[in-house]
Amino acid sequence: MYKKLTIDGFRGIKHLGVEDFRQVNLIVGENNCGKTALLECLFLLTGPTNPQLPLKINTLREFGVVDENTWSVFFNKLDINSDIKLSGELDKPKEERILAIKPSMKSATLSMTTTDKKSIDVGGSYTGLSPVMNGLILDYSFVKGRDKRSKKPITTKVTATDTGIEFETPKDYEEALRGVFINAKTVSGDMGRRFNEIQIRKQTDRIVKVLRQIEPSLVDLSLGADGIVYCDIGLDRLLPLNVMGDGMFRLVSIILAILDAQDGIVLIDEIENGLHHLSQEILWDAIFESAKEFNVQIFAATHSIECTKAFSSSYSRIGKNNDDIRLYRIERNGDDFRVVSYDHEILEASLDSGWEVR
Amino acid sequence: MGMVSIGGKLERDSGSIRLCKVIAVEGTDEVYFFDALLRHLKIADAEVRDVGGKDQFKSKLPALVRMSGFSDVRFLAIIRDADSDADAAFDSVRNILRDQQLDPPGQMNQFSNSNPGIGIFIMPGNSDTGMLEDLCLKTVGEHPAMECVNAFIDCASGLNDPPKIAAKAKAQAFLAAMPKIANSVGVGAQKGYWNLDSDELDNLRSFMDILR
Repeated sequence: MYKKLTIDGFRGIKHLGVEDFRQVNLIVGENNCGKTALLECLFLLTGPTNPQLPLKINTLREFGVVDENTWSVFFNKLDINSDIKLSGELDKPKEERILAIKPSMKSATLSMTTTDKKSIDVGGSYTGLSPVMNGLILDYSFVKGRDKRSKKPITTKVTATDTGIEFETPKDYEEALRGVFINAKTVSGDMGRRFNEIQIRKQTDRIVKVLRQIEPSLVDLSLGADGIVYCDIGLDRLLPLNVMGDGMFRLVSIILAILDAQDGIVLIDEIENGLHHLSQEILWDAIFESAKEFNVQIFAATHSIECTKAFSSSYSRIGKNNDDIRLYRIERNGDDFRVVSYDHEILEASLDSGWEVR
Repeated sequence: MGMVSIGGKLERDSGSIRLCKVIAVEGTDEVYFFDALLRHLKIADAEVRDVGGKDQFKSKLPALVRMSGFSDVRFLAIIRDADSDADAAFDSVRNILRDQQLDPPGQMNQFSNSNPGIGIFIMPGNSDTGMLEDLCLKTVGEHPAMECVNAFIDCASGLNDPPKIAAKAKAQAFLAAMPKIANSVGVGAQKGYWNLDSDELDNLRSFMDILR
Protein backbone atom coordinates (compact mmCIF):
# COMPACT_ATOMS: atom_id res chain seq x y z
CA MET A 1 0.00 0.00 0.00
CA TYR A 2 1.35 3.42 -0.95
CA LYS A 3 1.94 5.76 1.98
CA LYS A 4 3.73 8.59 0.27
CA LEU A 5 4.29 10.02 -3.21
CA THR A 6 6.69 12.69 -4.42
CA ILE A 7 6.51 14.08 -7.94
CA ASP A 8 9.17 16.24 -9.55
CA GLY A 9 8.93 17.65 -13.04
CA PHE A 10 6.02 15.60 -14.37
CA ARG A 11 3.55 17.28 -16.77
CA GLY A 12 2.27 20.49 -15.09
CA ILE A 13 3.73 19.58 -11.69
CA LYS A 14 7.07 21.10 -10.75
CA HIS A 15 7.04 19.56 -7.28
CA LEU A 16 4.33 17.89 -5.26
CA GLY A 17 4.46 15.67 -2.20
CA VAL A 18 1.57 13.74 -0.70
CA GLU A 19 1.84 11.81 2.55
CA ASP A 20 -0.31 9.58 4.68
CA PHE A 21 -2.21 7.75 1.95
CA ARG A 22 -4.85 5.36 3.24
CA GLN A 23 -6.71 2.46 1.71
CA VAL A 24 -9.20 4.67 -0.13
CA ASN A 25 -8.05 8.11 -1.25
CA LEU A 26 -10.14 10.75 -2.99
CA ILE A 27 -8.31 13.52 -4.83
CA VAL A 28 -10.11 16.83 -5.46
CA GLY A 29 -9.09 20.25 -6.69
CA GLU A 30 -9.74 22.80 -9.37
CA ASN A 31 -9.17 22.15 -13.06
CA ASN A 32 -5.54 21.80 -14.06
CA CYS A 33 -4.30 21.35 -10.50
CA GLY A 34 -2.70 17.97 -11.26
CA LYS A 35 -5.28 15.41 -10.11
CA THR A 36 -4.96 13.23 -13.20
CA ALA A 37 -1.18 13.69 -13.28
CA LEU A 38 -1.01 12.40 -9.70
CA LEU A 39 -2.95 9.28 -10.69
CA GLU A 40 -0.70 8.84 -13.71
CA CYS A 41 2.41 9.03 -11.53
CA LEU A 42 1.08 6.30 -9.25
CA PHE A 43 0.30 4.23 -12.33
CA LEU A 44 3.84 4.67 -13.69
CA LEU A 45 5.36 3.84 -10.29
CA THR A 46 3.24 0.71 -10.08
CA GLY A 47 4.48 -0.53 -13.44
CA PRO A 48 7.91 1.13 -13.48
CA THR A 49 9.51 -1.41 -15.80
CA ASN A 50 6.71 -1.37 -18.33
CA PRO A 51 7.77 1.10 -21.02
CA GLN A 52 4.32 0.98 -22.62
CA LEU A 53 2.74 2.87 -19.73
CA PRO A 54 3.80 6.40 -20.73
CA LEU A 55 2.09 5.97 -24.08
CA LYS A 56 -0.89 4.34 -22.41
CA ILE A 57 -1.48 7.33 -20.11
CA ASN A 58 -1.25 9.66 -23.09
CA THR A 59 -3.84 7.53 -24.85
CA LEU A 60 -6.12 7.73 -21.81
CA ARG A 61 -5.95 11.49 -22.28
CA GLU A 62 -6.98 10.92 -25.89
CA PHE A 63 -3.50 11.80 -27.09
CA GLY A 64 -2.64 8.57 -28.80
CA VAL A 65 -0.50 9.84 -31.62
CA VAL A 66 3.23 9.22 -31.60
CA ASP A 67 5.18 12.01 -33.21
CA GLU A 68 7.87 14.49 -32.23
CA ASN A 69 5.48 16.09 -29.68
CA THR A 70 4.65 12.84 -27.90
CA TRP A 71 7.67 12.69 -25.63
CA SER A 72 8.07 16.23 -24.37
CA VAL A 73 4.52 16.40 -22.93
CA PHE A 74 5.64 14.31 -19.97
CA PHE A 75 8.17 16.95 -18.91
CA ASN A 76 7.30 20.01 -16.84
CA LYS A 77 6.97 23.00 -19.16
CA LEU A 78 8.09 20.67 -21.97
CA ASP A 79 11.65 21.07 -20.67
CA ILE A 80 13.33 17.80 -21.57
CA ASN A 81 16.55 18.96 -19.94
CA SER A 82 15.13 18.49 -16.46
CA ASP A 83 14.44 14.85 -15.68
CA ILE A 84 11.23 13.55 -14.18
CA LYS A 85 11.57 11.91 -10.80
CA LEU A 86 8.76 10.01 -9.13
CA SER A 87 9.17 8.34 -5.79
CA GLY A 88 6.75 6.35 -3.73
CA GLU A 89 6.91 4.74 -0.31
CA LEU A 90 4.90 1.63 0.39
CA ASP A 91 4.29 -0.43 3.49
CA LYS A 92 3.20 -3.99 4.08
CA PRO A 93 5.67 -4.85 2.66
CA LYS A 94 7.90 -1.83 3.13
CA GLU A 95 9.36 -0.61 -0.11
CA GLU A 96 10.63 2.56 -1.71
CA ARG A 97 10.30 3.03 -5.47
CA ILE A 98 12.06 5.65 -7.52
CA LEU A 99 11.42 6.15 -11.19
CA ALA A 100 13.51 8.61 -13.16
CA ILE A 101 12.32 9.39 -16.67
CA LYS A 102 14.78 10.87 -19.12
CA PRO A 103 14.62 11.74 -22.77
CA SER A 104 16.04 9.30 -25.25
CA MET A 105 17.91 11.26 -27.90
CA LYS A 106 19.15 10.31 -31.29
CA SER A 107 21.54 12.23 -33.49
CA ALA A 108 19.81 13.93 -36.34
CA THR A 109 21.07 12.71 -39.66
CA LEU A 110 20.22 14.01 -43.06
CA SER A 111 20.16 11.91 -46.11
CA MET A 112 20.22 14.24 -49.05
CA THR A 113 20.34 14.01 -52.76
CA THR A 114 22.68 16.15 -54.78
CA THR A 115 19.80 18.42 -55.65
CA ASP A 116 18.90 18.81 -51.93
CA LYS A 117 22.46 19.77 -51.10
CA LYS A 118 22.40 22.52 -53.63
CA SER A 119 19.21 23.95 -52.20
CA ILE A 120 20.50 24.20 -48.60
CA ASP A 121 22.09 27.50 -47.77
CA VAL A 122 23.76 27.09 -44.39
CA GLY A 123 25.19 30.61 -44.48
CA GLY A 124 27.30 31.96 -41.65
CA SER A 125 24.88 31.12 -38.87
CA TYR A 126 24.86 27.38 -39.31
CA THR A 127 25.87 25.60 -36.09
CA GLY A 128 24.98 22.01 -36.77
CA LEU A 129 21.96 19.77 -36.22
CA SER A 130 20.44 19.29 -32.76
CA PRO A 131 19.84 15.80 -31.42
CA VAL A 132 16.22 14.76 -31.69
CA MET A 133 14.16 13.23 -28.89
CA ASN A 134 12.77 9.92 -30.01
CA GLY A 135 11.55 8.34 -26.81
CA LEU A 136 11.93 7.89 -23.08
CA ILE A 137 14.40 6.11 -20.84
CA LEU A 138 12.92 4.83 -17.59
CA ASP A 139 15.40 4.17 -14.76
CA TYR A 140 13.78 2.30 -11.91
CA SER A 141 15.43 1.70 -8.57
CA PHE A 142 13.93 0.36 -5.40
CA VAL A 143 14.71 -0.52 -1.81
CA LYS A 144 12.81 -3.35 -0.20
CA GLY A 145 12.26 -4.20 3.44
CA ARG A 146 15.10 -3.25 5.73
CA ASP A 147 17.70 -2.95 2.98
CA LYS A 148 19.51 0.34 3.10
CA ARG A 149 20.79 0.27 -0.44
CA SER A 150 18.80 0.16 -3.60
CA LYS A 151 19.23 -2.64 -6.05
CA LYS A 152 20.94 -1.93 -9.34
CA PRO A 153 18.62 0.32 -11.37
CA ILE A 154 16.53 -1.36 -14.02
CA THR A 155 16.46 0.54 -17.27
CA THR A 156 13.69 0.26 -19.80
CA LYS A 157 13.14 2.25 -22.92
CA VAL A 158 10.47 3.23 -25.37
CA THR A 159 11.55 4.72 -28.68
CA ALA A 160 9.98 5.63 -31.96
CA THR A 161 11.79 4.19 -34.94
CA ASP A 162 11.19 4.40 -38.65
CA THR A 163 9.25 1.17 -38.45
CA GLY A 164 7.17 1.80 -35.34
CA ILE A 165 7.52 1.86 -31.55
CA GLU A 166 10.20 -0.23 -29.87
CA PHE A 167 10.02 -1.26 -26.24
CA GLU A 168 13.09 -2.48 -24.35
CA THR A 169 11.95 -4.43 -21.32
CA PRO A 170 14.04 -6.08 -18.59
CA LYS A 171 14.64 -9.81 -18.90
CA ASP A 172 15.01 -10.67 -15.25
CA TYR A 173 12.45 -8.55 -13.41
CA GLU A 174 8.81 -9.27 -12.90
CA GLU A 175 6.56 -6.68 -11.26
CA ALA A 176 4.48 -8.09 -8.43
CA LEU A 177 2.29 -5.05 -7.79
CA ARG A 178 -0.85 -4.82 -9.90
CA GLY A 179 -2.30 -1.52 -11.02
CA VAL A 180 -5.43 -0.69 -13.01
CA PHE A 181 -6.24 2.79 -14.37
CA ILE A 182 -9.82 3.65 -15.23
CA ASN A 183 -10.95 6.99 -16.57
CA ALA A 184 -14.20 8.44 -17.82
CA LYS A 185 -13.51 7.26 -21.35
CA THR A 186 -12.39 3.78 -20.42
CA VAL A 187 -14.86 1.40 -21.95
CA SER A 188 -15.02 -2.30 -22.03
CA GLY A 189 -11.29 -2.82 -22.73
CA ASP A 190 -10.57 -5.65 -20.33
CA MET A 191 -14.11 -6.13 -19.10
CA GLY A 192 -14.68 -9.53 -20.71
CA ARG A 193 -11.42 -10.95 -19.38
CA ARG A 194 -12.01 -9.50 -15.93
CA PHE A 195 -15.58 -10.77 -15.80
CA ASN A 196 -14.39 -14.21 -16.83
CA GLU A 197 -11.98 -14.20 -13.88
CA ILE A 198 -14.83 -13.28 -11.56
CA GLN A 199 -17.02 -16.06 -12.97
CA ILE A 200 -14.26 -18.58 -12.40
CA ARG A 201 -13.90 -17.35 -8.82
CA LYS A 202 -17.70 -17.75 -8.44
CA GLN A 203 -18.07 -14.14 -7.39
CA THR A 204 -20.64 -13.01 -9.95
CA ASP A 205 -23.29 -12.84 -7.23
CA ARG A 206 -21.40 -10.09 -5.46
CA ILE A 207 -21.63 -7.82 -8.48
CA VAL A 208 -25.26 -8.71 -9.11
CA LYS A 209 -26.08 -7.80 -5.52
CA VAL A 210 -24.53 -4.34 -5.91
CA LEU A 211 -26.16 -3.72 -9.30
CA ARG A 212 -29.60 -4.68 -8.01
CA GLN A 213 -29.53 -1.49 -5.97
CA ILE A 214 -29.62 0.40 -9.27
CA GLU A 215 -31.59 -2.13 -11.37
CA PRO A 216 -33.86 -4.18 -9.07
CA SER A 217 -34.99 -6.43 -11.93
CA LEU A 218 -31.47 -7.77 -12.50
CA VAL A 219 -31.42 -11.55 -12.03
CA ASP A 220 -27.96 -12.51 -13.22
CA LEU A 221 -24.93 -11.57 -15.29
CA SER A 222 -23.13 -13.79 -17.77
CA LEU A 223 -20.31 -13.55 -20.26
CA GLY A 224 -21.07 -14.10 -23.93
CA ALA A 225 -18.71 -15.82 -26.34
CA ASP A 226 -18.29 -12.39 -27.92
CA GLY A 227 -16.65 -11.08 -24.73
CA ILE A 228 -19.67 -8.97 -23.84
CA VAL A 229 -21.21 -9.09 -20.37
CA TYR A 230 -24.96 -9.78 -20.60
CA CYS A 231 -27.71 -8.95 -18.11
CA ASP A 232 -30.71 -11.14 -17.30
CA ILE A 233 -33.50 -8.80 -16.26
CA GLY A 234 -36.27 -11.35 -16.60
CA LEU A 235 -36.93 -10.84 -20.32
CA ASP A 236 -36.92 -13.53 -23.01
CA ARG A 237 -33.42 -12.54 -24.07
CA LEU A 238 -30.35 -11.30 -22.28
CA LEU A 239 -29.38 -7.66 -22.72
CA PRO A 240 -25.81 -6.48 -23.22
CA LEU A 241 -24.57 -4.58 -20.15
CA ASN A 242 -23.52 -1.78 -22.52
CA VAL A 243 -27.17 -0.86 -23.16
CA MET A 244 -28.16 -0.84 -19.50
CA GLY A 245 -27.02 2.73 -18.91
CA ASP A 246 -23.76 4.44 -18.07
CA GLY A 247 -24.19 3.98 -14.34
CA MET A 248 -24.43 0.18 -14.44
CA PHE A 249 -21.58 -0.04 -16.89
CA ARG A 250 -19.35 2.25 -14.85
CA LEU A 251 -20.15 0.45 -11.62
CA VAL A 252 -19.31 -2.94 -13.11
CA SER A 253 -16.07 -1.70 -14.65
CA ILE A 254 -14.90 -0.28 -11.32
CA ILE A 255 -15.85 -3.31 -9.25
CA LEU A 256 -14.27 -5.67 -11.78
CA ALA A 257 -11.08 -3.61 -11.72
CA ILE A 258 -10.89 -3.87 -7.92
CA LEU A 259 -11.48 -7.60 -7.93
CA ASP A 260 -8.89 -7.98 -10.69
CA ALA A 261 -6.25 -5.87 -8.93
CA GLN A 262 -6.14 -7.97 -5.77
CA ASP A 263 -3.31 -6.76 -3.47
CA GLY A 264 -2.62 -3.90 -5.86
CA ILE A 265 -3.99 -0.47 -6.66
CA VAL A 266 -6.87 0.90 -8.71
CA LEU A 267 -6.79 4.47 -10.06
CA ILE A 268 -10.09 6.00 -11.10
CA ASP A 269 -10.22 9.40 -12.77
CA GLU A 270 -13.51 11.32 -12.75
CA ILE A 271 -15.06 8.62 -10.62
CA GLU A 272 -18.47 10.29 -10.59
CA ASN A 273 -18.76 10.11 -14.37
CA GLY A 274 -21.91 8.43 -15.61
CA LEU A 275 -23.41 7.99 -12.15
CA HIS A 276 -26.51 9.72 -10.83
CA HIS A 277 -25.74 11.29 -7.47
CA LEU A 278 -28.09 8.82 -5.76
CA SER A 279 -26.02 5.95 -7.16
CA GLN A 280 -22.73 7.33 -5.92
CA GLU A 281 -23.24 6.09 -2.40
CA ILE A 282 -23.91 2.62 -3.81
CA LEU A 283 -20.61 2.88 -5.69
CA TRP A 284 -18.67 3.95 -2.59
CA ASP A 285 -20.27 1.20 -0.51
CA ALA A 286 -19.08 -1.31 -3.09
CA ILE A 287 -15.61 0.27 -3.25
CA PHE A 288 -15.08 0.29 0.52
CA GLU A 289 -16.23 -3.28 0.89
CA SER A 290 -14.34 -4.75 -2.05
CA ALA A 291 -11.17 -2.71 -1.41
CA LYS A 292 -11.05 -4.15 2.08
CA GLU A 293 -11.83 -7.70 1.03
CA PHE A 294 -9.39 -7.79 -1.88
CA ASN A 295 -6.71 -5.67 -0.21
CA VAL A 296 -6.76 -3.06 -2.94
CA GLN A 297 -5.71 0.54 -2.49
CA ILE A 298 -7.95 3.02 -4.30
CA PHE A 299 -7.03 6.44 -5.66
CA ALA A 300 -9.93 8.31 -7.22
CA ALA A 301 -10.32 11.86 -8.50
CA THR A 302 -13.48 13.90 -8.73
CA HIS A 303 -14.87 17.41 -9.22
CA SER A 304 -18.25 16.51 -7.80
CA ILE A 305 -19.48 17.63 -4.37
CA GLU A 306 -22.21 14.95 -4.50
CA CYS A 307 -19.53 12.34 -5.02
CA THR A 308 -17.50 13.77 -2.13
CA LYS A 309 -20.54 13.75 0.15
CA ALA A 310 -21.36 10.18 -0.88
CA PHE A 311 -17.73 9.20 -0.15
CA SER A 312 -18.06 10.57 3.38
CA SER A 313 -21.56 9.36 4.19
CA SER A 314 -20.91 5.88 2.84
CA TYR A 315 -17.81 5.63 5.02
CA SER A 316 -19.80 6.88 8.03
CA ARG A 317 -22.10 3.88 7.63
CA ILE A 318 -19.65 1.13 6.81
CA GLY A 319 -16.19 2.43 7.68
CA LYS A 320 -16.08 1.15 11.26
CA ASN A 321 -13.86 4.09 12.28
CA ASN A 322 -10.68 2.46 11.03
CA ASP A 323 -9.34 5.80 9.78
CA ASP A 324 -8.63 4.29 6.39
CA ILE A 325 -9.85 7.03 4.07
CA ARG A 326 -8.41 10.41 3.14
CA LEU A 327 -9.51 13.27 0.94
CA TYR A 328 -6.75 15.38 -0.59
CA ARG A 329 -7.32 18.75 -2.17
CA ILE A 330 -4.52 19.87 -4.49
CA GLU A 331 -4.14 23.64 -4.53
CA ARG A 332 -2.11 25.23 -7.26
CA ASN A 333 -0.73 28.75 -7.25
CA GLY A 334 1.42 29.10 -10.35
CA ASP A 335 4.29 26.65 -9.93
CA ASP A 336 3.53 26.05 -6.27
CA PHE A 337 1.48 23.04 -5.32
CA ARG A 338 0.01 22.42 -1.89
CA VAL A 339 -1.90 19.42 -0.65
CA VAL A 340 -4.57 19.74 2.04
CA SER A 341 -5.62 16.45 3.57
CA TYR A 342 -8.84 15.57 5.38
CA ASP A 343 -9.49 12.57 7.55
CA HIS A 344 -13.09 11.41 7.81
CA GLU A 345 -13.92 13.37 10.97
CA ILE A 346 -12.63 16.65 9.55
CA LEU A 347 -14.27 15.99 6.19
CA GLU A 348 -17.61 15.43 7.95
CA ALA A 349 -17.14 18.63 9.97
CA SER A 350 -16.40 20.57 6.77
CA LEU A 351 -19.38 19.16 4.90
CA ASP A 352 -21.60 19.78 7.92
CA SER A 353 -20.61 23.46 7.86
CA GLY A 354 -21.04 23.68 4.10
CA TRP A 355 -17.37 24.59 3.71
CA GLU A 356 -15.81 23.96 0.33
CA VAL A 357 -13.47 20.98 0.36
CA ARG A 358 -12.92 20.67 -3.40
CA MET B 1 -25.10 27.11 5.03
CA GLY B 2 -24.77 29.27 8.13
CA MET B 3 -24.23 32.98 8.39
CA VAL B 4 -20.80 34.53 8.13
CA SER B 5 -19.60 38.08 8.57
CA ILE B 6 -17.47 39.26 5.66
CA GLY B 7 -15.91 42.67 6.07
CA GLY B 8 -18.57 43.79 8.53
CA LYS B 9 -21.47 42.47 6.48
CA LEU B 10 -23.60 39.45 7.39
CA GLU B 11 -24.25 37.00 4.57
CA ARG B 12 -24.81 33.35 3.77
CA ASP B 13 -21.56 31.40 3.89
CA SER B 14 -20.14 30.75 0.42
CA GLY B 15 -17.92 28.02 1.88
CA SER B 16 -14.56 29.64 1.09
CA ILE B 17 -12.38 32.06 3.04
CA ARG B 18 -12.24 35.39 1.26
CA LEU B 19 -10.38 37.75 3.60
CA CYS B 20 -6.91 37.55 5.13
CA LYS B 21 -8.06 37.91 8.76
CA VAL B 22 -10.37 35.30 10.23
CA ILE B 23 -12.15 35.28 13.57
CA ALA B 24 -13.36 31.84 14.64
CA VAL B 25 -16.20 31.92 17.15
CA GLU B 26 -18.42 29.46 19.00
CA GLY B 27 -21.79 29.95 17.37
CA THR B 28 -24.10 32.02 15.20
CA ASP B 29 -24.83 34.43 18.04
CA GLU B 30 -21.10 35.18 18.32
CA VAL B 31 -20.93 35.75 14.55
CA TYR B 32 -23.59 38.46 14.95
CA PHE B 33 -21.83 39.99 17.97
CA PHE B 34 -18.40 40.17 16.33
CA ASP B 35 -19.89 41.39 13.09
CA ALA B 36 -21.25 44.39 15.02
CA LEU B 37 -17.99 44.82 16.95
CA LEU B 38 -15.85 44.77 13.77
CA ARG B 39 -18.03 47.43 12.21
CA HIS B 40 -17.76 49.47 15.40
CA LEU B 41 -13.96 49.11 15.39
CA LYS B 42 -13.87 49.91 11.66
CA ILE B 43 -12.06 46.67 10.80
CA ALA B 44 -13.15 45.98 7.25
CA ASP B 45 -10.86 43.16 6.12
CA ALA B 46 -11.81 40.41 8.56
CA GLU B 47 -14.38 37.65 8.42
CA VAL B 48 -16.12 35.90 11.31
CA ARG B 49 -16.84 32.18 11.11
CA ASP B 50 -18.79 29.85 13.33
CA VAL B 51 -16.76 26.79 14.36
CA GLY B 52 -19.51 25.42 16.60
CA GLY B 53 -19.60 24.97 20.34
CA LYS B 54 -16.70 23.74 22.41
CA ASP B 55 -17.50 20.10 21.63
CA GLN B 56 -17.17 20.79 17.91
CA PHE B 57 -13.93 22.77 18.11
CA LYS B 58 -11.89 19.59 17.85
CA SER B 59 -13.12 18.84 14.34
CA LYS B 60 -14.32 22.24 13.10
CA LEU B 61 -11.16 24.18 13.86
CA PRO B 62 -9.08 21.69 11.80
CA ALA B 63 -11.76 21.94 9.11
CA LEU B 64 -11.49 25.73 9.15
CA VAL B 65 -7.73 25.73 8.65
CA ARG B 66 -8.21 23.44 5.64
CA MET B 67 -10.79 25.64 3.96
CA SER B 68 -10.13 26.84 0.48
CA GLY B 69 -8.48 30.27 0.88
CA PHE B 70 -6.93 29.64 4.31
CA SER B 71 -3.41 29.63 2.85
CA ASP B 72 -3.78 33.41 2.32
CA VAL B 73 -4.88 34.09 5.91
CA ARG B 74 -2.43 36.27 7.89
CA PHE B 75 -4.24 36.35 11.24
CA LEU B 76 -6.52 33.83 12.88
CA ALA B 77 -8.30 34.94 16.06
CA ILE B 78 -10.04 32.22 18.03
CA ILE B 79 -12.66 33.27 20.55
CA ARG B 80 -13.88 30.77 23.12
CA ASP B 81 -15.86 30.99 26.32
CA ALA B 82 -14.00 30.22 29.53
CA ASP B 83 -17.09 28.40 30.82
CA SER B 84 -15.94 26.95 34.14
CA ASP B 85 -12.16 27.05 33.53
CA ALA B 86 -10.37 29.61 31.33
CA ASP B 87 -6.99 27.81 31.50
CA ALA B 88 -8.56 24.51 30.44
CA ALA B 89 -10.33 26.25 27.53
CA PHE B 90 -7.06 27.90 26.46
CA ASP B 91 -5.07 24.66 26.69
CA SER B 92 -7.73 22.79 24.76
CA VAL B 93 -7.54 25.23 21.82
CA ARG B 94 -3.73 25.22 21.95
CA ASN B 95 -3.66 21.43 21.73
CA ILE B 96 -5.97 21.42 18.73
CA LEU B 97 -3.74 23.97 16.98
CA ARG B 98 -0.59 21.98 17.75
CA ASP B 99 -2.20 18.86 16.29
CA GLN B 100 -2.64 20.86 13.09
CA GLN B 101 1.04 21.87 13.06
CA LEU B 102 0.03 25.45 13.83
CA ASP B 103 1.92 27.62 16.29
CA PRO B 104 -0.37 28.63 19.17
CA PRO B 105 0.28 31.75 21.26
CA GLY B 106 2.07 31.30 24.60
CA GLN B 107 -0.54 33.25 26.53
CA MET B 108 -4.25 33.77 26.24
CA ASN B 109 -5.57 36.99 24.73
CA GLN B 110 -2.38 37.36 22.68
CA PHE B 111 -1.20 36.45 19.18
CA SER B 112 1.71 34.23 18.21
CA ASN B 113 4.47 35.62 15.99
CA SER B 114 3.91 32.87 13.45
CA ASN B 115 2.44 32.96 9.99
CA PRO B 116 -0.49 33.09 10.24
CA GLY B 117 -0.43 34.94 13.54
CA ILE B 118 -2.78 33.07 15.86
CA GLY B 119 -4.51 34.58 18.86
CA ILE B 120 -6.78 32.95 21.42
CA PHE B 121 -9.19 35.10 23.44
CA ILE B 122 -10.99 33.40 26.27
CA MET B 123 -14.29 35.10 27.09
CA PRO B 124 -15.11 37.13 29.04
CA GLY B 125 -11.38 38.03 29.31
CA ASN B 126 -9.41 38.37 32.54
CA SER B 127 -11.66 35.91 34.32
CA ASP B 128 -11.43 32.23 35.18
CA THR B 129 -15.03 31.59 34.31
CA GLY B 130 -17.78 33.00 32.14
CA MET B 131 -18.88 33.64 28.60
CA LEU B 132 -19.84 36.28 26.04
CA GLU B 133 -23.03 37.11 27.98
CA ASP B 134 -20.95 38.07 31.03
CA LEU B 135 -18.92 40.49 28.97
CA CYS B 136 -22.00 42.00 27.32
CA LEU B 137 -23.66 42.52 30.69
CA LYS B 138 -20.55 44.27 32.06
CA THR B 139 -20.78 46.83 29.26
CA VAL B 140 -24.25 47.87 30.42
CA GLY B 141 -23.64 47.70 34.19
CA GLU B 142 -24.75 51.30 34.61
CA HIS B 143 -27.77 51.06 32.31
CA PRO B 144 -31.08 51.97 34.02
CA ALA B 145 -32.62 48.73 32.75
CA MET B 146 -30.22 46.76 34.96
CA GLU B 147 -32.33 47.64 38.00
CA CYS B 148 -35.28 45.81 36.43
CA VAL B 149 -33.01 42.96 35.35
CA ASN B 150 -31.56 42.49 38.85
CA ALA B 151 -35.02 42.54 40.39
CA PHE B 152 -36.20 39.93 37.88
CA ILE B 153 -33.18 37.69 38.47
CA ASP B 154 -33.57 38.01 42.25
CA CYS B 155 -37.13 36.86 41.88
CA ALA B 156 -36.29 34.03 39.45
CA SER B 157 -33.44 32.74 41.63
CA GLY B 158 -35.94 32.06 44.39
CA LEU B 159 -37.85 29.59 42.22
CA ASN B 160 -37.65 25.86 42.91
CA ASP B 161 -35.97 25.33 39.56
CA PRO B 162 -34.13 28.60 38.87
CA PRO B 163 -32.23 29.46 35.64
CA LYS B 164 -29.11 27.27 35.43
CA ILE B 165 -26.89 29.80 33.68
CA ALA B 166 -27.39 33.12 35.40
CA ALA B 167 -25.50 35.19 32.81
CA LYS B 168 -27.67 33.89 29.96
CA ALA B 169 -30.86 34.55 31.92
CA LYS B 170 -29.67 38.03 32.86
CA ALA B 171 -28.70 38.88 29.27
CA GLN B 172 -32.11 37.68 28.05
CA ALA B 173 -33.82 39.77 30.71
CA PHE B 174 -31.80 42.84 29.72
CA LEU B 175 -32.66 42.39 26.06
CA ALA B 176 -36.32 41.90 27.01
CA ALA B 177 -36.21 45.36 28.58
CA MET B 178 -35.06 46.96 25.33
CA PRO B 179 -37.41 48.85 22.98
CA LYS B 180 -37.33 46.26 20.19
CA ILE B 181 -37.15 42.50 20.53
CA ALA B 182 -33.65 41.04 20.40
CA ASN B 183 -33.70 37.34 21.21
CA SER B 184 -29.95 36.84 21.55
CA VAL B 185 -26.83 38.77 22.55
CA GLY B 186 -25.68 38.80 18.93
CA VAL B 187 -28.90 40.37 17.72
CA GLY B 188 -28.64 42.74 20.70
CA ALA B 189 -25.22 43.82 19.45
CA GLN B 190 -26.63 44.37 15.95
CA LYS B 191 -29.30 46.63 17.47
CA GLY B 192 -26.73 48.54 19.49
CA TYR B 193 -27.99 47.45 22.92
CA TRP B 194 -24.54 46.64 24.32
CA ASN B 195 -22.12 49.49 24.94
CA LEU B 196 -19.26 48.68 22.58
CA ASP B 197 -17.35 51.75 23.83
CA SER B 198 -17.34 50.44 27.40
CA ASP B 199 -13.99 50.15 29.23
CA GLU B 200 -15.05 46.59 30.01
CA LEU B 201 -14.17 45.75 26.38
CA ASP B 202 -10.61 47.12 26.69
CA ASN B 203 -9.08 43.62 26.78
CA LEU B 204 -11.02 42.45 23.77
CA ARG B 205 -10.37 45.65 21.83
CA SER B 206 -6.68 45.44 22.61
CA PHE B 207 -6.64 41.77 21.46
CA MET B 208 -8.30 42.79 18.22
CA ASP B 209 -5.97 45.72 17.62
CA ILE B 210 -3.68 43.48 15.58
CA LEU B 211 -6.51 43.00 13.10
CA ARG B 212 -6.70 46.71 12.31
